[in-house]
Amino acid sequence: MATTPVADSRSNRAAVQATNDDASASKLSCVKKGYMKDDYIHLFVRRPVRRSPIINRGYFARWAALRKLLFQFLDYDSNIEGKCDTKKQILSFGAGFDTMYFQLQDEGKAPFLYVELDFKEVTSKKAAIIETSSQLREKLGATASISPENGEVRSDHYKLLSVDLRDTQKLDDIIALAGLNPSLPTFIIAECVLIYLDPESTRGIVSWASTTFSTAAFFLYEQIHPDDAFGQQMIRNLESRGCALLGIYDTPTLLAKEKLFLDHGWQRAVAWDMLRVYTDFIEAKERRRIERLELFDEFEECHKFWSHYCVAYAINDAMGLFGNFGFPKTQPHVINSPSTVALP
Amino acid sequence: MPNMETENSNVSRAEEIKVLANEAFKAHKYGQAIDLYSQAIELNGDNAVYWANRAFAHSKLEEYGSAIQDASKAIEIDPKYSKAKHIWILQARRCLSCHGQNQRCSKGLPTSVKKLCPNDPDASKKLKECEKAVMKLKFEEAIAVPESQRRSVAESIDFHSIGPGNPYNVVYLAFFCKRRGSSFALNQMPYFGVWIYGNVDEQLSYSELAILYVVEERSGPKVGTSPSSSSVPTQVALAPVAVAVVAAAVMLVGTAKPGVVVSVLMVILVVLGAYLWGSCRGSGVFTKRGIMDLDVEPQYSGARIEGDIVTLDFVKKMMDDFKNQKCLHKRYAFQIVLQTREMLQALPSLVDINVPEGKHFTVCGDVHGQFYDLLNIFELNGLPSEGNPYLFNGDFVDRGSFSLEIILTLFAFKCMCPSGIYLSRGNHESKSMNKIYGFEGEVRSKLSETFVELFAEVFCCLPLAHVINGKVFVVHGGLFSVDGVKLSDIRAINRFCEPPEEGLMCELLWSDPQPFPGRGPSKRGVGLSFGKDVTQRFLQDNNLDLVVRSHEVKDEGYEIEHDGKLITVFSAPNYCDQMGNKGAFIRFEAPDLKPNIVTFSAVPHPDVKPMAYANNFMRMFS
Repeated sequence: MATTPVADSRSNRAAVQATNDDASASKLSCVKKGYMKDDYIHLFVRRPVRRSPIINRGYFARWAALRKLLFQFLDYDSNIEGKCDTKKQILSFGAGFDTMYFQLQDEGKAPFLYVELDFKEVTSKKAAIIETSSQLREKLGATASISPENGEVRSDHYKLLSVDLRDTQKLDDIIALAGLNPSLPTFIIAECVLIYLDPESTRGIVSWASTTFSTAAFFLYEQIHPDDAFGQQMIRNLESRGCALLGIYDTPTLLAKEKLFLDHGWQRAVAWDMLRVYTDFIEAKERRRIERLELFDEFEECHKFWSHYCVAYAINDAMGLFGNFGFPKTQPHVINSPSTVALP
Repeated sequence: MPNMETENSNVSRAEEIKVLANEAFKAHKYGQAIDLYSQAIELNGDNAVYWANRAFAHSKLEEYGSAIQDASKAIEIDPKYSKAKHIWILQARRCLSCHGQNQRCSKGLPTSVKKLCPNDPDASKKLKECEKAVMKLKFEEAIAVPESQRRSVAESIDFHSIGPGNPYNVVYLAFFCKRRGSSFALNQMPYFGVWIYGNVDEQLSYSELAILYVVEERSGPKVGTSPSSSSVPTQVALAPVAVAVVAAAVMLVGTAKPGVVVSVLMVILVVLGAYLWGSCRGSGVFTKRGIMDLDVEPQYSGARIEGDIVTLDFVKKMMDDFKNQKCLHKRYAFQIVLQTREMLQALPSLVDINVPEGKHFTVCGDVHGQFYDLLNIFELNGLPSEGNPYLFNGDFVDRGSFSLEIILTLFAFKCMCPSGIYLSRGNHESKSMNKIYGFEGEVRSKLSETFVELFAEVFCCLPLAHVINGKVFVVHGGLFSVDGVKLSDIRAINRFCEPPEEGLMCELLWSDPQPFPGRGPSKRGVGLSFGKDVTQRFLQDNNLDLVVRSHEVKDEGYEIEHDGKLITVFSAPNYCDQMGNKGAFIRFEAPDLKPNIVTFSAVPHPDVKPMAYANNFMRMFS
């Protein structure tokens, strides 16, 4: 319904796009410090900075959580007899300068098709960098076509396309353009992207994704809890930078995130805050490893931050692939049936 | 012929013995080395190396007098022998330090050093003449030194050699001067910007002027350096070098000179010459015994300290300058920090505060570089003074990007009115934290590298805990992993170091209370968490009523825990511009000492983000 982008003085395109540059710099800071491995992010960061330990740890947690869920998706074979190597797809909204595709290539885990979407301003830059970097280019294959002017990269297994996500009607075109097959298992990523949209656009996208992909996992990482002092400060800070969290009041809690999916056609949904994700989902070994990397004195801030961020995922499971997918099952998942009361 | 042969064989034999002596030295067998060097000397007394090496061995055994004698001899034989000069000077300095500090070896003060101190009533006049000459010299040298050298001299950070084959640094020059008929405390202000080093107990009726020029070897662990040394910028060290030369010349004109003084002078000239034409590094350590003058340019429009005394007017002007983001001149920063250091050094590790009946006392928690919020505290609660005393409970710096302004303000108040402000060490008053959380970068940016070391030193002097009227125990972190800790145990801690990773000192700065009884591992990985039973027992054991601590950010700026026996107070509102919390402080009024808590919100500050300086030294990425 929202064909025209909602104008909002607290939210402007450039500022939201700039969050990508921040994120890339933060990722590089983590890489330099040894939190994670990413051989490509440095190509996208003009001015490396060292982030404080709390930021490093935060990025690590988010990266590790996404990775773990993604690998669950990529790794286990189809449980349908005979189909061992199901073709899989990854669709990343607001991908920015993410280097996941290239890393997966290195690890031999790249899916059949990896599609990244973002504003044209961002995809143009990304395409230009890919074009100039042989390291990246060679991962695309010989038949790749790279067009910084159009902000597009097309190759057999990787597509970078520009779109304004607020224009949900364009999304169907994107499917065709990207060559996505709606019947193949698809992992959809929305990391700190939907929260910048007005709630209607967000609902539109979530709904569209559910109707389009019958076997899919939708990964969401974004903020919650605008209501307390920290949340209020967070919102003020972001607003003053021009990247207001337009969606946060619509889905301010974990429950609300789950409901967002369930109300729009998804079969299952789970949301955990990052505190719980860090302590109960990321491996103890990994946690111990990274905790030794830096002197860390930001516990209260970390606590506050992580209780204001969550990982939520939703599942459509036509092919029955997602039986073991997701967070450890200490509680029943929220199932989309009217008689079940959703547990927080 | 036979004589020549004997001589030659003596010389070569002496060399052989020297080799053995060196080996003994390397094996730390200094007594043996001394014997062997002595044998070598007997065979060949003209080899300066033997004398110098024996001097070195003597110094290892702390036989300073002998070390100086041998070094003097070596210099006599070979006035250009830098190593000998080095040893001589080190030992002389050591002697003088004993002499000044506890008069332990005042009688051991070598005559060669004493002779540098002529009894000259007109010393001050001569000093003035020296100063003029120094200015002229400095100017001439500055324009004479080629561009590349000048830059490296100005930077004074990395260097490779002081001229041809001379690896020494100029570290500092100390003036020793005692004024007519008065005694000076050790922290008296610089005369000519140089510390006047006086003996507190001695009363003199005349002036003495001594110049001791100290040169320390650059690389490796320093021989004879005290643990509290730090470096001085090269440029700053140049002045005293020149002064030393000129003043020595002036003195020598008026006194009969023993050979040693001449040779020392020549040595100084050699070093000076080499020093000027090479690049130098200020390394080593900063001692209260000597800092170099930093002249305050007339164009400097900031706050100035008149004479020796930090006044309220100065502090107010300084705070105003800070508010307008102006910097304080390094000279005054030095003055404030060094004066504070003297004061803090003398304090016990646990300080007792007495609040007379009817008077009040304010305790603040972490302020973390949030200078504008500190100004707000002073607006709300008044400036620190005798009648309005404060205790700041650690974590003055890091995170907020106005840490330097905070620390200089707190220190300035301490200088101005020692009983108006008390400062307790927090876990952020340490090198490892300052490296990461912004203070070090900020100091480097706003002042200089020297100050980085200097602050690290001063922080080590901060007391670890305070007790108000024997009833309220105030510490930054918290309590201990063991029961039975007494106040006397805390008082007895040797705190002059970086916080260790465990033990009482560590726990005082790092621990946190927990809601349930007993003890547990700290979420921070350092220190521990302790329950209300621990608090209860500690209070009982020490006849106290209340623990006040900081260290944790609280939404309301404070939190009362452990059945009212423990209060956390945190005075940095909207911590890091992110947490949205309030700040708080506690007012106690004697004699009942009931805690009155005042909360306040953040005030605006200039657009410098928290930890803006934290990345400064990490440019190595590109």
